[in-house]
Amino acid sequence: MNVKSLAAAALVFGGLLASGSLLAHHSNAAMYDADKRTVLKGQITKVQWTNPHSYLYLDVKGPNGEVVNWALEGFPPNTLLRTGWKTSMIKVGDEISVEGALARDGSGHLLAREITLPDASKLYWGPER
Amino acid sequence: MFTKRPELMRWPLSMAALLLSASLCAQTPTPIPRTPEGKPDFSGVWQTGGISLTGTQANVVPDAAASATAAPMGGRNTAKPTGPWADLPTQPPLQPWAAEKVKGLTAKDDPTVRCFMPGVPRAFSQPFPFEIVQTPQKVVILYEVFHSFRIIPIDGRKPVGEVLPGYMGDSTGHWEGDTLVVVAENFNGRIWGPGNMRVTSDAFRVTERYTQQGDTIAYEAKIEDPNVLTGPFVQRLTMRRPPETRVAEYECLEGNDDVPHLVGP
Repeated sequence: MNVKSLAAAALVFGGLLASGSLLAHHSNAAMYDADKRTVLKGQITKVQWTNPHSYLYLDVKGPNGEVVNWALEGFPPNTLLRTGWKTSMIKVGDEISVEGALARDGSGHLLAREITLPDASKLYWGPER
Repeated sequence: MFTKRPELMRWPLSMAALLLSASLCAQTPTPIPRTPEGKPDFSGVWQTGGISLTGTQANVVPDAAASATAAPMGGRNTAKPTGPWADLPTQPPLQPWAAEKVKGLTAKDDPTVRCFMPGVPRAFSQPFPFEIVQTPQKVVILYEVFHSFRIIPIDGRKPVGEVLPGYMGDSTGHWEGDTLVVVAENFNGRIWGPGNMRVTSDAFRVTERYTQQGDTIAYEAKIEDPNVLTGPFVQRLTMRRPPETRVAEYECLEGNDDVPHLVGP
């Protein structure tokens, strides 16, 4: 599915996003603060195409050189595949950057929104909030 | 050399007739698909909620600028209601004890966090597709979410009666004109209803009306629960056909980290 057809799909579903149950499984607001956002860059250590939420794990080097492994929570696999992802697009060892919402408890969890892949293409991994 | 042929001479007249006929068609309701028996044919994949792309942006990929201006279509049917339930409230009129109990419940108490099936009508308002398979004797609804399904006899069979109650209940249906009416009951009192109806009892009962309108299904669900509500209320949704979608596997338990996240280890 190319960007054009994705845009067409978005036109079909556009306002559906504002409909009742926005969340696939639980309230993201309970765990993540959508107003507290960050950008991380790092190397993928694990790819988890699982329901009810997919996860990427990312080694991120801090300013002092220490490495923290972050869990990037996103849409369920079916949703990702319907919105243009292919499982071949991402693998352990890839360098990516990701923008998302931080966990309220300060843990290394991120509700991952926009991912920039090694080829500079951008895709959404999860909801904005 | 070009010679005028009689069939070409007739073209302008034929085209005019065609345009007139198209214009007349435009003024009549879009015909709906029908079964060989003449009943509305609901077969196919449908969806009410978004594709789980939540938040304030409507686009599904970062570069799809056009999608940001997508016309809202809404899974919720916000049109002025008509029909037998037009005057019913759209929010659950909770009894005082239930309203008090609901105040103390949060997302972590949602049965679906633990991957339990969401019940009716909540299974429809999940952001996942479902497929309707229809025969003259039954309507089968296969929900992607939580592997839920309903087999709904529409041939006059009665509810199963006294059996163990369940998360998806027991449904039986019948036709009222072109509207499919389904009654779902025999729920276990452990599901959540629509809106803030976070309490149900085993008297929870849903009457649904499915009416196909062009490419959509207007869906109404009347919710009753004399143990929890002071009266019935109604939820309305619009079902649409998602593009190029097949209902797929959804095994909720395989990566469900929500319980430790939300509830604690």
